[in-house]
Amino acid sequence: VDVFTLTCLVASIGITISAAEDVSLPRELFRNSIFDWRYCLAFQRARPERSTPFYDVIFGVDAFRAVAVLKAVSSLVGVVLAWNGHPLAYLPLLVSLACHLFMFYRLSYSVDGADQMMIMVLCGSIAMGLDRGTGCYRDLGASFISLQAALAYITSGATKAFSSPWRSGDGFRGVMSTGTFGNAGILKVLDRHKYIQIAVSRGIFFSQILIGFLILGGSYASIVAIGFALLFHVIVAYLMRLNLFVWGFGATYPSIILMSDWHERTRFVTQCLLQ
Amino acid sequence: MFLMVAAFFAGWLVLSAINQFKADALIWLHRYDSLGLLPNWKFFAPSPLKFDLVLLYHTSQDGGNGESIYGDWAVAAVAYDRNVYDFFFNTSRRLNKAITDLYSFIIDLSRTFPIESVCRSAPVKALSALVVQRAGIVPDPVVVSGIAVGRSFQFAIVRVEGVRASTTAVFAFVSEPAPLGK
Repeated sequence: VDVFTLTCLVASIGITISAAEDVSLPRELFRNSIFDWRYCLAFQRARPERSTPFYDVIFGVDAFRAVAVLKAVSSLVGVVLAWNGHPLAYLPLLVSLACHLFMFYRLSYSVDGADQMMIMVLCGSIAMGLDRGTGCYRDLGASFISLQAALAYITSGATKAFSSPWRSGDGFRGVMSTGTFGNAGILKVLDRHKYIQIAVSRGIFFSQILIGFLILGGSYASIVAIGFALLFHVIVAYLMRLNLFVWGFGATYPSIILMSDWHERTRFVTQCLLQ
Repeated sequence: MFLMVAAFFAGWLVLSAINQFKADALIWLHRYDSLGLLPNWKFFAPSPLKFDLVLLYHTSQDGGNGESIYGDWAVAAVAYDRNVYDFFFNTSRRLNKAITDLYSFIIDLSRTFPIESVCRSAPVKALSALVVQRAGIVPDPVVVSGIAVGRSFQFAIVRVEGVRASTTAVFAFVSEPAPLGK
């Protein structure tokens, strides 16, 4: 299984789960409620000036659900075509990306980092699928995905490292005290032992920065990094219910493995540029 | 062709990096970023989320002499419902995130604009519509010259800190009374 197929496979699982979650949103939330397109699109610079039956159809709940289903189905078709080495495997991914971007525009709010990482993964995958013969596009797409992943881990860790609540341990304790992301058992342990609070809080941002630099380090360091990262995302999914981060970030790992030989890959991409 | 694609990805990567550490420099670009192409990778930083949100509402009744008497606050929605299967399939993810995002917009608007203007904004209208729907409030049928008379309605966003420990609740935003006209 090549890196393109593997990336498509992991991404399509995340896309399908995300689409199923979107389809399961109650219909009534889309009519005179929080996801009514008139409220959502008020945040967009380019938006319909007034409500018409046409806009009611294309931004209505049925169209929203249809786009979500199309996004999932096209990504799954992309996996099948990629698996069989079809030269047009990138086309369904293009459809999936268009649907994903439409939903970004349609919803305006309520999108998160996992949704954003999926945009990067889909764009990188489309590039990978453009020319599977020479490998130039494959390496270009994979390097884009890997660098975005490294940037995400380093940014997330560094921003916490410069934040006093995170350095003092209050950051992690605060998150754990919420109903949305928290856990009563862990909170009890943190409140009993202040040093664990500090250690875990600092451990989170140190490990995020470390993962980012290990990805950039290449070679075996990258493999170790994604091992750490996968464990981190699974724990976060279980504790904090951020389930789609496993798939959004997990889809970057095949590219990170491919690009672990940065020296050779960079030389190859440079050759492609000079051709 | 390859050169163009490479330049596109390189440019995107540079803008993504600038957006993480010098976002102010790209404010002009954010206005055109309807599709979320400029990522924000700062998850839970610099200020971690330390609270949950609860939406409350109450309706008034005509107390005579043109005065309105409001009943007690009641819960319309909480933004932290959890299910055991959320680690794999989180159906309330979008709704909870939408409430949190709209709350952030409202707080930002409240710092700059007077309450009357904030109450006319899209984030307040969206949350207000959710509250009316979730609370099952029936619009008042008594309308004179297009204006509802009788009952009016208010909603509030309450920040609850320490749901899993010693809980404190703070009213973060209270909407202006709005008529419950059809």
